[in-house]
Amino acid sequence: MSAEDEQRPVALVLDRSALLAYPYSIHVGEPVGEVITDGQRFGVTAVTAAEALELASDAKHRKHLYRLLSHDSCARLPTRGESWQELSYWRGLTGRVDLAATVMAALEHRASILTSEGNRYGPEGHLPVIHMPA
Amino acid sequence: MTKRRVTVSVPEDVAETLEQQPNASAYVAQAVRDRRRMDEFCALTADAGVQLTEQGMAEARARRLQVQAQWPRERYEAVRDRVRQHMQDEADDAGRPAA
Repeated sequence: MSAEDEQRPVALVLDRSALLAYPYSIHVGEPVGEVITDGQRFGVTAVTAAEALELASDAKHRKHLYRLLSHDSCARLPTRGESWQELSYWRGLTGRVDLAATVMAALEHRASILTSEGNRYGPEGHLPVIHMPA
Repeated sequence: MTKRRVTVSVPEDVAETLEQQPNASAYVAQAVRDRRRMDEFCALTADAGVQLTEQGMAEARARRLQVQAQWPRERYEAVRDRVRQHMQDEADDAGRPAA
């Protein structure tokens, strides 16, 4: 991947529910596909990836996730140590550390969150959330 | 990155577009990479039996752009500033001696 490719904006961050629905849900495939078509990237935090791989139903599902996470348009996003206070705040609001990391990544990249757990992110409109069916 | 010269034939309209580019090679390289990324992603989903549709992706884009319109840059910054201030206040409180 060239340096220019790595500069492509992250437009969409997948949370654990979106990642676990991949690849079988069209409600994940199409939003991710349109972001790629638009020349942008989708993001997954390292914490989310770890959670999803642990919860993936079987080896076949994990294989699909590995391939998605290795895709050229997937930004694998860190959660920095110096952000621990913000992480703590969002952990309190969402109830899970993977969701907290997802919120922080979305805010940092000014991206939307794709999820089927929209109720976890506070009242409607509280955060830039794109709802998908469970 | 190593580069290689490749000669291709293209339709007239494509040739005109390339002639207007300050760097036609970079333009073509970007277009090919964009297309390859999408082809690779379609292959991944097809392997799981899921076929993406143009209409579905257009609807997904409309939903994303709707959220994007409601969330200008300033709104993201405002949320981050509010959370940072909240946590700073909490840290300040924690640093004060107990009454």
